[in-house]
Parts: sequence; structure tokens; C-alpha cells
Amino acid sequence: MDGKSSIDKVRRSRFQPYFFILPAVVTVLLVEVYPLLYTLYLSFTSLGMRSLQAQFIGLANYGRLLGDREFWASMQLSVIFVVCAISLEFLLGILLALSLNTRLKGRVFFESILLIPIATAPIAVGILFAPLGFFDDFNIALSRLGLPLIDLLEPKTMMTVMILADAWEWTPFIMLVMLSALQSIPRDVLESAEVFGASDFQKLRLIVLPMLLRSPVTAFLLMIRIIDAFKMFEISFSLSSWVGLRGLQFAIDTVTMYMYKLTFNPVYGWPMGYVASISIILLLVSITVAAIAFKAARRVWWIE
Amino acid sequence: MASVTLKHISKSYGTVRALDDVSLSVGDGEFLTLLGPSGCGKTTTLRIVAGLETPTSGEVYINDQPVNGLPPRERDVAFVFQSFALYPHMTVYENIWFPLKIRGESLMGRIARTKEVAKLLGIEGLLKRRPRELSGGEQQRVALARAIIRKPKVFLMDEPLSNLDAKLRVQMRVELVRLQKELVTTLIYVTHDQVEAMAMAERIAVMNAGKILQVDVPQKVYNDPQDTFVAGFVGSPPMNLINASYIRREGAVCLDTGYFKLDISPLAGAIEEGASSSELILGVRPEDVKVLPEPPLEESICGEVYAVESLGSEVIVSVKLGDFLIKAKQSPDFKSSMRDRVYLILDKKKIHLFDRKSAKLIV
Repeated sequence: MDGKSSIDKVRRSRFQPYFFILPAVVTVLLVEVYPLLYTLYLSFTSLGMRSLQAQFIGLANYGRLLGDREFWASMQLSVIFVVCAISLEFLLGILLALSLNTRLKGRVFFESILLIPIATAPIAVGILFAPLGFFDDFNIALSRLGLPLIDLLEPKTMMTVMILADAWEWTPFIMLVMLSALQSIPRDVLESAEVFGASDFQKLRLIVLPMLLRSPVTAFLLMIRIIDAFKMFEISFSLSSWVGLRGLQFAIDTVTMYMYKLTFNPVYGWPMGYVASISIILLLVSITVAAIAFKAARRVWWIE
Repeated sequence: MASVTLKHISKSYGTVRALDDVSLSVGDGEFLTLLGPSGCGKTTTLRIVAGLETPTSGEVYINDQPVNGLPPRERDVAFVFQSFALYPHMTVYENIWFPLKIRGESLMGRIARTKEVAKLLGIEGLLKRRPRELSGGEQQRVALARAIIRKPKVFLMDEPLSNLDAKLRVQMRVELVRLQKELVTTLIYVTHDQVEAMAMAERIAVMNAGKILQVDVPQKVYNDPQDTFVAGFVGSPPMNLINASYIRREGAVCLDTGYFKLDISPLAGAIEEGASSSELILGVRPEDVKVLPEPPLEESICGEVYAVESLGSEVIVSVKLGDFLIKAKQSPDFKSSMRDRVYLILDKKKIHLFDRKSAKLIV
């Protein structure tokens, strides 16, 4: 009876719902909020090789950021990388999805082949696209044809290779999501467009593409991919390990790569407080860009 | 305006025969209903007229022009789908003027025309909304507006009212009939609801299992069903169909159902001419069966009340005769309860006899 009355007491309490979500709340606080707050705290301290006791230094790290040309160069590279890679991935992904959205034989085979990049470890993608990867064979082919070779160690080429590598890895995934979004367009809607006189091109322009681009799935995928592309590390890491030998390391030092160098290259003196401030800025930038893209996704296509 | 003619249309999906030699001709400005149970091929027929399906064999003509090879957009028809098939990413404006936009009409022209048809359908206030912000009835009107905006040659409607609630359905029924009369456009209308078909159409084509069984005005379909399927499908409740054998005995001609016998001497000549055997089916509409609490003087059939359904304006009485039930429509003041003994009189002038083998009407 006692047990029952105490249960009744909990049931009557208006805190009861909170009691049930407590485990989830505690988990989130521990694994997400705590590291975030800790990073934020670190970014206000001087923690590093020269001051192993974290000293509160206010906004000094952020001040240093403003004047750090290497940081701004890396941020610029990150933005270029994100914009180019995401555009390329969505463009190719949608084109592939449209061309595979048929009942042709062999579709399943193509879909399976295209799944391979998704299953590949990102670091392996970086190695594959590194100068001694398959571009070497590509150059051999070019030389057999008597065409000029591609200098893979050229800084601009490195950036292009990085974008291609990322697109190679992610386009199939975007294609698969777009394919399922395409297949969720009701057949009636397409048929009604057909009956009311739309040509195949008009159907694509007025019905299929706008429905695809305005679907919440697309907006969500775009947001996730932007955040993820800002965080991309493995490809620039494996590529810069090659060019590092030639001293061209700044050409593909994205923000994440710069953070890695600051942390592990003894020359910089392990400036943990400073690295924390960079990661906070990176987080803010990626979330802001992703949020803008999320809102803008439905406006990229106009009907009138 | 246009006439539509189907000549010997067959359609197979693999080994499944969806349509079997369907021929039909719909007059200019006519309201024709394709009526049948689900899977009978009525929607397939409609889609073949629209060009959304290609017949396996046979020809389709619109205004005596063969349109077999033409894609839907060159047939100048408008289709109203069961799901309405509105474009979810467009406003009501954009949905309605879609057929005009496709043909490159100017924005000003489109706005003017859209306002015109919106007024006709009473949806002027909704033009800036999106389909998901509309109720079922409103979506239905938008779909209709989109269908009529370009004055097509033929309207094709595939169960357009089946997604609406019962009250709205009855209201839209009336409006659709008025609309079709105002626009004077040929309309082919698919439905599985015989009440809808009876109430709206000028002519009904009853379909079953890929075949057209009867094409007639509603009254003829009701009064003279050409076979047992039509008899059992049209009417609510439908016609009572009872297996019976034809017997000639001492000069009189009788129907023997195993439970009761019915003297049908006046029909003897017609039966002997039309029937393939003595195995017949007796058909009688519920309103042609009289139920009496006391035995009358004339010939009657004794049975037991099985169920009584009171519908307000009428009462449907199911009477158990041996191992089958017969339904009778009575006036609302009919009083009876389960297991009561009652006496039935069938109106012999209004009974139908069908051949059991071919299911066709004899008389």
C-alpha cells in the first residue's frame, strides 16, 4: 500500500514528466553541454605549453584571432571548399538521381556501385586522391595521349582535388536521398501535369525540381552536409602530408587542419585556449551558414 | 466540346486482362458515368481516353479523330483525379492557371481567367493559399477550377467525390451537374457509387470484370437491368436475386425456388423463347415486395422476419424464406420485429427473369 501511495504522489506531481525525461537530460548535459561549455571556458584562458595552469584572460584569444592572418586564410579556404564541394555534390547528386529515377534494367546494380564511396573511410578517400593515388594513373594516361600533365602539387590544383575527393565521397549519398525524395512525388501529380499539357521539360522545371528542392528532406540534408563539410579534416590531412614535404602546406590548410597544426606542431607551443576559441568560431560559422542555407533552400528555384 | 468513341479497346497487364473489348461512344456535351466495382476497369478506361495508358488493342477517337498515338497533352482533355493531384508547392493561383502557363499565356491573362473560374466555383478567397491549407472540399474545387480553366474538349473525372465526407459529397454532386450543364462540355465520370451515378449521369455504362455490361439512361438501367450483375449492383438495397427453376404443370407455368412457387403463366411464351434451360434467376426489387402481418386472400409467401432496418423515410425488412433472405422496402409506419411471421406478395408485373447460365435478362 505504501508503495502504491508513493507512486500516486509522483503521478499527481506536475514534475512527473520531467522525472521521466531526466535520464535523457542528464546524458545530453554530460556528453554535449559539458564539452561545449568546457571548450568555451578554455577559450577564455591561456592554457598552453607556457602556462599549464589555465589563467583567465578574457577575450584575449579572440583578439589574437582577429589579427591572425593564417587563421583568416584557413577560414577563407574552408568557405571556398564548403561552397564548391556542396554545390558540386548537390548538382551531381540531383542529376544522377533524375537519371536513375526510371525503371531501367540495371538500376539496382548502379545504385549498389554508387554506394561504395559512402562505405569508404574518409582517410582512405584522402589517400586515394593524394598525388600517388589514382591521379598518378590519370597523368600516365594523359602522357600516353601526348597531353600536358596535371601538376598535383600546384596549390590551386590541390584545392580542386580536395573538392573532387569530397564530392566523390558524398555525391552518391546525396543522390540516394534525392532519389527517394523523387520517388515520393505522387504519380497523380506528375500525370496531372502531363494531362494539362506539360512537356517533359516543363514537368521537370515546374513540378519535379521545385518539389525536390523545397522538400524539408533536401533542406535538412543541405544543412547537415554544410556543417559536416566545415568539419572535414581527413582529406586535407592526407593531402597536406604529401605537400608538406614541398613546403606548400598553406594551400589546403582549412580551419580544422590549422587547429590540428596548432595543437600538434611543437613550434606553436600547444595553445589550447587559442585552439578552443577557433573551434568556437568554427562552430558558430558553420551553424550560421547552415541555418542560412536551410532557410534559403526553398528559394533557389522559382516557378514564375 | 467533343464526342469520344472507344472501339474494341482491350488492355492487358501481363496475363491480367483489365479491359476486354470495350466499345463505347459518348456524345457531344454528354454526361456519361462509368459505374462498376473496384477493379472492373473503369479507371483504366478513363486513363486510356486521357492517354495516360496505351490500349493493347483498339482505337480511341475524340471528335472522330483517332488519338491513339497522341500523348495526353495533345488530346485537349482535363482530368480530375481522385486525390485531386494539386501541386503542393504552388499557391491556389498557380495551381489553377497551370494549364494556361504551360501554353505560355501572359501573367495578366492568367490572373483574369483564374479569377473568373474561381468566382464560378466560389473560391476567390483562397487564391493565395497553398493546397495543404485547404479543406478537402476546397481542394476539390481548386482541382475543378484547374480542369475547366482552359475549356478542354472533354472532362475526365476519376471518383472526384470519394475523398469528401458524405454531406459535402451530396452537395458537390449537385454543383458538378450544374457546372457541366453551364459549361456544356462532354464529361466522362468514373464512380463505384451507384447512387452518384443514378443521380448525376445522363447515361450510365455499367462495367464489371473489364467488360461493359449495359449502357443506358439511369431509369432504364434501374428498371430494365440487362443482366444479374447490373441488377445486383444498382439500387439500394439492390434487386433480390433468387435461383428458381421453370416448371410446367397442368397447364400452368410456375417458378419453383425450392421454398415457394410462383405462377407466371403470362410470361411463359417469353421464357420458352429466351431461356437456354429451365434454370432461371428470379429478380425482384425490394420496393416491389409487399410485407403483410396477416395472410391475405391472394397468393402469398409465408416467411420469418430476419431483420428490420429503419432508415427514416423507409423501412428495409429482411425476410427469411427457407435458406435465403429477401429484402423488402416498406413505408416508415411498418411495424414488425424479429422472428415475426409475415406474408409476402411479389408484384408479378415488375419481376425480372434472368437466364442462370448466361446471367442475361429474359423478361
